Amino acid sequence: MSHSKDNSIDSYTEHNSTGFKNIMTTAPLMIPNVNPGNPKDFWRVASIVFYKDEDAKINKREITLLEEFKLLGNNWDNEESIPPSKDSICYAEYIVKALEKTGQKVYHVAPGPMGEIMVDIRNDIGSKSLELLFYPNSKNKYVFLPENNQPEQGDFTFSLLPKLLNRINA
Amino acid sequence: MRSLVGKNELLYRTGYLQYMNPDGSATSRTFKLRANKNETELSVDVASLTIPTKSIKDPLKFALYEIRNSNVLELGLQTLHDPLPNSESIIDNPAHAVIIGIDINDEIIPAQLARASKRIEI
Repeated sequence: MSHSKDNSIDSYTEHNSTGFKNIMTTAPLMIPNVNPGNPKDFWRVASIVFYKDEDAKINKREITLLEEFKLLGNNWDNEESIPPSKDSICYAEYIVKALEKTGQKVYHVAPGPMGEIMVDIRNDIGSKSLELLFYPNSKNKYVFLPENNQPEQGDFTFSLLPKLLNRINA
Repeated sequence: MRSLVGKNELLYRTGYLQYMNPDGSATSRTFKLRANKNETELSVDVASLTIPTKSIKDPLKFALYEIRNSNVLELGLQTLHDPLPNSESIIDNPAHAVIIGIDINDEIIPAQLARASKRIEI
């Protein structure tokens, strides 16, 4: 495979480094200050490399839907909803592709009325659900709906993802 | 004049057809308040006062979901019958009601309402 070089950012060091043309590193690296208060946020510790020409398998439907969402305009649902923001889609794409890498099926992705994107992850039998909500201006939230206990809502930072996935799949 | 909707009533809520869950059920977004419209109440129809084909308006664009008012009450919310037209709307809908008590920042309630709802095939 031949690779042409272009500039990218090393996801370990966050320094500019030389990359390859057909490789897309973590897309949200383009979005600064994801969680400035937490130096151990996911972006700073993760190193997942996506190939642009890589075909998704388990989350192909969701990735296709996210592409569709980019085309939504104002009042896309005839109920005056605003279109998904670029940031929201970017975060959602990153998560869905990262989950694809780890073999985690995403149940569904859906746009919301305020320009947010919801990424819904469920356990195998659908009894537990984790909704990740990516709002414009990086106001990201999660909702965990366990089988029997009280539901839980919080601010979502990417460092929480492994723990939340463990709870879903436990 | 608003009045409480009975515990045993069924309620209808429409949702955008294209982005429902893969199994046809409602996503939490269907029950989310719209801050851009300054919504503080969730519009529904009282099922006993209408019929599904009237409530859905356009079955090519929307899906219709049914939820028991008892499920709404269990979440600490209330449903008020709010027939239209009223002072704020010229729409004619005698079955119109509103679910009150939802916080715009609350993401749990929309998810719980969605899971308690069931799609009605038109």
